[in-house]
Amino acid sequence: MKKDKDYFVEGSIPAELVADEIRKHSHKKNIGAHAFFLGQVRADIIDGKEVQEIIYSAYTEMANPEFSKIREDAFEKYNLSCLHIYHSIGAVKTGEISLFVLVSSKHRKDSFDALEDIVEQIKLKVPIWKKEILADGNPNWV
Amino acid sequence: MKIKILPFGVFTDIFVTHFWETEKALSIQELIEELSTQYPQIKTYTFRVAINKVIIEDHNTILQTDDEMALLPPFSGG
Repeated sequence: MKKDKDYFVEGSIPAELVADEIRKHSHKKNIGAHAFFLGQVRADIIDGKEVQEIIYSAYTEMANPEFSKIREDAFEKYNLSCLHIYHSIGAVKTGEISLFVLVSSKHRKDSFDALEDIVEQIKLKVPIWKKEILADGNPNWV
Repeated sequence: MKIKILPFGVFTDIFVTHFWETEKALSIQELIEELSTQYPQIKTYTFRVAINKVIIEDHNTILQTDDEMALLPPFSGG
């Protein structure tokens, strides 16, 4: 059986990974547009206590095939050249990046339309949970 | 019959049991009832159930031995 692709990154998604992905596509001369989404961990205030970090957990055996399905559906629905998804697992501090989606196409409309759709699908369909860790050390499941 | 219980999200802080053994065949709903006698908190949460990694909406479905039953609170990725 084909091993599922792993879309998870341990901890936060480094800015270097974003830069590397853009660099890696420079030889693909049929691409005219990249659109990307970065999800950043917010310092929300819960009952007067500020969120310090989020611990992401997932049912990875379900989540990875679900990411692949979202990817396949997007390629069917939109005229895309490339699509990359990275999601954090484990601890991500406020201000750090936890989700990176990069959509590339010949023309911008496909990238723009696909990007929003894909991010919404991820939030809706992928079994991932977050536990906010508050300033006093207590957890808040989201 | 032995069922593996996979708690996720908030349930990871509630469950210490990861296997449930029972004499008679149970439906998903019946197993949830049995689990809630030990963990009454679970009834206060909204969740879906996946059997062997597939979400099953019909909770009258009868479980088979060695099934993996995952308890999935609402997803919150991103």
